[in-house]
Amino acid sequence: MDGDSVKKYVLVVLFFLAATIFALPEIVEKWMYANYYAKRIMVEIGLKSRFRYEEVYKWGADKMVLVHEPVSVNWVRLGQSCYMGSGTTLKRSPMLILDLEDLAFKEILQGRDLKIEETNEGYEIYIHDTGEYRVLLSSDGFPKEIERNYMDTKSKLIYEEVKPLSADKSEILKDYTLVDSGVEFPKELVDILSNFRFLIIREGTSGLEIEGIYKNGQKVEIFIGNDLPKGGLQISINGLKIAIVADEKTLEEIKVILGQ
Amino acid sequence: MKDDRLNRILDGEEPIEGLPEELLRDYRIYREAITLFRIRCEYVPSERLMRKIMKKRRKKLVLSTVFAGIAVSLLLLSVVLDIFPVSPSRKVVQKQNPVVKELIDYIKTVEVVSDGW
Repeated sequence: MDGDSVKKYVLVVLFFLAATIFALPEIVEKWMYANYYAKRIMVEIGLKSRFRYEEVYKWGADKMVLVHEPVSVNWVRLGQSCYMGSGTTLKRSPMLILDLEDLAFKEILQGRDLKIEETNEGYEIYIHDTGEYRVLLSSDGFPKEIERNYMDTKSKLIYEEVKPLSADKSEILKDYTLVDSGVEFPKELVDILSNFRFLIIREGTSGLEIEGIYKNGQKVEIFIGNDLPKGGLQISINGLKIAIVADEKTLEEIKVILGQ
Repeated sequence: MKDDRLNRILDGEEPIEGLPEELLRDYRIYREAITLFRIRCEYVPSERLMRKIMKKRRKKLVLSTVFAGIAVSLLLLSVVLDIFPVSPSRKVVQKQNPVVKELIDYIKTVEVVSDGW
């Protein structure tokens, strides 16, 4: 087995183990394992404002999303492999793409406080941890609304036209080519960014500036390119000059991730 | 009637002798006006005045050529040395190597389609 297969295997085992250990309520399991097709809108207001209109195909933990607005991008996540592209050729994405629904699953599987209320129209689930999640499900376990409140930022996925999906993955994906050679994105950077809750990307004088909220709630700035600001953590990865500016404690955590 | 007679005198159809005083005065004024007009039309400035005018014009021509030359030189110099300020985004595009460009495009897309990690 290669590295990816091992990862995939470990994730599947962990998924089932977590489901068993936490003995997830039936409706949550229904939702997690549901196969559905839907059209949905994502609205975010707060630290940054975003909007998306997209179609989603979900097969259990695997997912394909066709983003129509504000950009035309398609992404597929099969296990731990993610592919992304603007046409029918989707390149391997070094970073895992997760939507609000996936983040809610992640919180549930990490054993966060879960409160379920049965309503006339289905179920209302509250997840409390790094952010407040409120999920509205139909009685079949299909999502109607997923809302997250985190650091004064409200993100909401509003589903419409949710239908059970009988088509197999291969049937939907047959028109797409998944290419394993992807973007040259330094693994170290992926590891750091995977710990961000929010990202705001800017093209500044130094090159690329990434401002984000780290998992501990602290602000971190990453500068990539030339004319980097002095101070912070200065590193060079695959010839890319990178400066990371954050408070001391967060920088220590980042150094651990970088193995320094 | 008076104008007709004056016209005939001017055309040489009638003799000037025996003209009434009033008509004779008009005749003289007219002749004088014609003479002045002719002088005006046949005027040729003196060589000295001509030289003075040409000197002034030449000076203006030289100055405008010099200023135009300076402006063109400055423009060329700014293009070659890139001394004029450019917007930060243009600067970034100039400085970006293909890897950074690809990285920027990728991460910008991820920012749009992903809701966090």
